[in-house]
Amino acid sequence: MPRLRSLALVTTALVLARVAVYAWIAVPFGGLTDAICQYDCGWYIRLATEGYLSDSQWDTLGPVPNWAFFPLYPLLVRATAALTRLPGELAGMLIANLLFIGFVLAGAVYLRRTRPNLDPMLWVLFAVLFPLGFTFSVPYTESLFALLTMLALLALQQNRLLPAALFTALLCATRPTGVLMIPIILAACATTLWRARHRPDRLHTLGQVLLPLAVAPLGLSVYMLYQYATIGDALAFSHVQLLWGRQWHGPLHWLITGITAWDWGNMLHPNGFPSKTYDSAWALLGLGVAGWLAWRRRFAEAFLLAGTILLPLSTALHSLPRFVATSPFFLFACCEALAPITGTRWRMALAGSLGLAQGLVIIGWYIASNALY
Amino acid sequence: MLSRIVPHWRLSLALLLLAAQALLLGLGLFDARVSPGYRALFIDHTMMTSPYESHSFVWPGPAVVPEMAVPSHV
Repeated sequence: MPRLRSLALVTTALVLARVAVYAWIAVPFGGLTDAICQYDCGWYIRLATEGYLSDSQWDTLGPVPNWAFFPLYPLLVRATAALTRLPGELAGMLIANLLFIGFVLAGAVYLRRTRPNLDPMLWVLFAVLFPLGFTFSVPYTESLFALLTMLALLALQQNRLLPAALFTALLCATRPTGVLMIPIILAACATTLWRARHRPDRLHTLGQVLLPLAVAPLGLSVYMLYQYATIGDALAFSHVQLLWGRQWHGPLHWLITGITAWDWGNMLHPNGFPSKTYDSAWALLGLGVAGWLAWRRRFAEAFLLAGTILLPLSTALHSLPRFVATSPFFLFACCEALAPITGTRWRMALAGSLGLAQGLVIIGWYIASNALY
Repeated sequence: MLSRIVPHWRLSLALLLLAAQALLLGLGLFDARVSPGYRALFIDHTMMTSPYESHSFVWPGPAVVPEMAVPSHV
């Protein structure tokens, strides 16, 4: 597939170039690994290097808070660090960027199947250059989650239920919102069962659709079993979210809280409280895009994007800009909206503007701006 | 081969996995074996408001919540 090979080369070159730019910008901020490892990065790297029970930085809390962070990405970082002998932060960046390249290519294949008129080069440029896309290069779960989402959907498109369920199991071991893929698997299984309703060997068919359904949540289940065996609380990953101010009040409560706070001024104080109104605006934008996808009859994409927003929005507002802006479906929708921009000059202008904006955003990240939390 | 030993092995395995995961969910919901402090803070929410919101939680650094680290059965 020569087209995919050339896309892979371009994507790799662009990702390498952007990491080089990040390193250049990071010089006055103490170097790349120090500057890029903000917020949750520290949790993931400590989990990768020390494991769930050995983190002792939390005094009387012991290692309790780190149960909020799911194990697959730290395990990958640990394996990468062991193989390459790189320090945790660098291993985390390396694996995040490799997974990001994988996501961009899987996204290109997915777009070719779902939106054949979209120029794949526009997708590559947008994915690498859009302002909040820097998160895919940070030692976070973003790139792993996006790649696994794409792989699960690509497998489902070919009606390969068991591989799709295995990717879903890995999604469930990456982030709590991985469970959102389970209803999609359920729908695919139900469709398969309905189509096979006249086949004589019903038990065989039932086994073929029930096994993927049983495999899909395994990532979360194994993690829950580990928590139960280790600290006695199988739902610790959910319970300790309280330490981040996450409490279940429903999405409407938090949206209203954010809109009525009208605290845009907090954006001017990057090291103060985050702006709840800014976070709510991102949630509303994401829900609007999900509605647009549903209107275009892309129901699975709409469900996954809306779920990615509504699930965390039920408990708090923070991190929503990141959750929305790194959702593959939000990115695809943005790309579709930009598709009318054709011609080399306009494309160059678009790439330049996006790249400049991302440069400014990465400086905000390096100074730990709360707008990027 | 596996089909000869266990007819409908996919169905059997699926039912086994589903039952095990349902049991695990039940344990998670109804059988948390944790210390009273952990239960009060994280499960019953009778202990305090979020340290994040109240700025009493330093990132990273010591927390102010007592009786947390050691679950009762460990």
